Amino acid sequence: MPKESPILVGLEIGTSKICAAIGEENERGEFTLLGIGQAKSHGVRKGEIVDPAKAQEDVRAALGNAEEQAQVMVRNLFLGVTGRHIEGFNNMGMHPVASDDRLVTAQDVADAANNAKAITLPAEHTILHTIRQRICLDGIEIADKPVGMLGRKVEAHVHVIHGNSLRIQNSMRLVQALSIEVNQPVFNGLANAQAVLSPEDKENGALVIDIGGGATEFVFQQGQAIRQSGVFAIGGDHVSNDIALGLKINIGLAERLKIQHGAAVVGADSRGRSVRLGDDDLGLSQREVSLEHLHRIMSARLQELLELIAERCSEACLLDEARAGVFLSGGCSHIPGIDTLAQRIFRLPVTRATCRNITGNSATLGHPEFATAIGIARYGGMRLRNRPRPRFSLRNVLPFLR
Amino acid sequence: MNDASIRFLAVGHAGAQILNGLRTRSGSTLECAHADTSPESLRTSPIDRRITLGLSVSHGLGAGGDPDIGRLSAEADLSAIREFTQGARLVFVVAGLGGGTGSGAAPVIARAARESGALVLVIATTPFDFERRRVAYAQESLERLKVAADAVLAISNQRVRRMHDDRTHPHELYQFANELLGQTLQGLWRLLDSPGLIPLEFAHIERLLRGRHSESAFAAVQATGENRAHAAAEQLLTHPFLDTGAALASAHQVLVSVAGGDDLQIGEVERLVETLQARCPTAEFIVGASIDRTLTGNLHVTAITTRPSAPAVTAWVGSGFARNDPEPTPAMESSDVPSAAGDRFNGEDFSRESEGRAVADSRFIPPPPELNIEQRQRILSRQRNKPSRRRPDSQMLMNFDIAQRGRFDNTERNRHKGVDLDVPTYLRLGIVLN
Repeated sequence: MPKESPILVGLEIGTSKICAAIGEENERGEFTLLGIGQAKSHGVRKGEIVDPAKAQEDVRAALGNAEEQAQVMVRNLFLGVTGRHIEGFNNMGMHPVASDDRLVTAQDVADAANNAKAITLPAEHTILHTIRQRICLDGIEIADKPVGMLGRKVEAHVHVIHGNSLRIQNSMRLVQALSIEVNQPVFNGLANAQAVLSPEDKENGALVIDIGGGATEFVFQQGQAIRQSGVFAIGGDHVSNDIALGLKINIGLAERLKIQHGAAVVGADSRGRSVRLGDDDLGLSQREVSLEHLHRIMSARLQELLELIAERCSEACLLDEARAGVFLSGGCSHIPGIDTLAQRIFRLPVTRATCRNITGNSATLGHPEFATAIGIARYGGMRLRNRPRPRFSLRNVLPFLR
Repeated sequence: MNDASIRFLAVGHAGAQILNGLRTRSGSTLECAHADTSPESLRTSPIDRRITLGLSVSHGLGAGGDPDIGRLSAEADLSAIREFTQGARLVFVVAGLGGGTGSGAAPVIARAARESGALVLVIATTPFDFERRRVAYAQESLERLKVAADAVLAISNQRVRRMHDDRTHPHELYQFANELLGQTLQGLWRLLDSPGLIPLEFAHIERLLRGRHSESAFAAVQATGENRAHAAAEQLLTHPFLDTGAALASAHQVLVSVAGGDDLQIGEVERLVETLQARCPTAEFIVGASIDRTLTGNLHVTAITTRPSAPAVTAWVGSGFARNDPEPTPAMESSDVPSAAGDRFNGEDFSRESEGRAVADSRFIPPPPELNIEQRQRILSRQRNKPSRRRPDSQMLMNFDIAQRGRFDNTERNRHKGVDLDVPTYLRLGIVLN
């Protein structure tokens, strides 16, 4: 038994649901899921909080569920953030080797990495994550750190994920109001990739797309490096909204129609078929809608979304490097045919993601909707593991926004 | 109708085969061309005028089953297509969808032909169901064609397959499909070509088809013998192109062209039209008849049906043409429409459509106000009488922000490269839901 296995809590405040995952990690880095709690989300639109009071209630409910299941008390957690304000981009920082003998020191490498972070951000924006992609010494890529080698300049290539600090703090305050400490905000997409990718997938390069209710995050991971990431504030809500507007039905009905009869591609078999809308209590409502129209509306929206992502990833010819293919997670990955659609757009093998390398309630692990919350907790574990402190206590690690 | 103003353009190998069937059948000199990406196919083409597509793209290797190459090829040699369609009033684009050239190039060609001012009818075949990949390509291509052309007639090889048993030779099957298409093409062609006893002019067809996209259906049949009028009507009512008669039952306008030899009797025409009218009581009928001495003993009937198009189509495409769409008739929903056939047209529910039409008038696509001359004059005169009352400073600004965002109405705009992603994609792409 590990002497002290820290309890890791990941909280995702999503547009359709709020999900909390509680787990623990042993010394070998194996993650066990202890409990998961969820609540329907009411105060969130497009991944961002619009009604703090409602959202807070929902967070309380979700955390309560998870605590009950895991039989622990949550004191602090890692908080997932998303929203269209979050952006990822690649940057390079350079540092000339100062010493006369041109011997690279650890300080040179750290300086190069720091230079890479020194970027002009939009007003009120703050850096969420800086992920080191590779280090080059005089233009030659070095496998590990070039400390002890000779060279003239060190280049650090990093991926920077930044977001609007006010909006991030809004969600943090929400949690803090429940007397729970936030260790660190984590970008949902990054966390999701940690949950659904196996080490081999990461090594081969994979694009993880999490299509949630109000926002879609994508992360391209290769090895330990993030090559591209971003958010589009489009999700299942938009699909439902499109259906509601297109078929002139109310949004609840559209949601049901999407789940029961939806598809991401317009197949030949949907042609000419129609769906009778659910009867009301009196058995009256007899309207029928064309299945083909339903699928066409959904297909248009999802295709556009995936094409936007493909466009972002093809900027650096990344898709050619995704040898593990595309992983779809989030609620929308349940839509039939979305893998076919993604395959057509990315021309890569497409997998519906499940949580990997995690033990625990296996019924839960098969659900891609929980991947983000679990991933946040896992990411938290990684952060703690990579930065051991003399006195290991959650309270004094990782001050917000280093 | 001058011959030169109708042109036939075969796209790809399959298109050439179908068109050749028509050419040999009609005997007359049609203005034909065969556009293809594969020089091999062009070399053996039965059609004299050949247009090579995309030599610069595929370097003479053909499209290789890739619609993207087909599309690029057509775009590369668009000028040759334009040259051919220049001055035409009616262009038939004939293609077999599913391959590279047919699926990729046909929509581009249809669009180019339409841009040159012609009415564009597309005649196409779609592959068998077991040709998975090709079916997907064909589907995609059909969607594009529906947007690009005035009318698309597609016959699925699978549907033809269902009419035959397992032992049929594949060649026979293709022949049959080509035959059906050829027959229909010929019917349309004759309709425009032969001098009419009861003449039908190009304008009729144009009025019927222009801007209708997928909502038209055609069929041509022939019958001989004593009871040929009745037989022809029967054939039409069970014709696969007319969804085994369902298209007739839900049609809004029906154009019937009867062609016969010297022995054509007015009674026959009457009986035929009455039989058809009995099936679609509310439709407006346009009847034409023509005499062709070579047809003596035969009766050829061509039918074109249309149904009211979606308001969006009327508003955008129809504005440039004289049209008098009758109001949607409530009688469509009445019980004297044969219910089994009556509720399907092109596979869609019609009774819902007419109801949906009333609902569909959203503020996103404002329907133009229907004014008669009297009303218009009244409005104009009212404006003329009170010029002093106009106050430019109080003039309302036109609200451009009419796009619907539904539940996202009150949220931050989701701008990406100048478009608001919260607005439904299908609206932004102009996908027509009818």
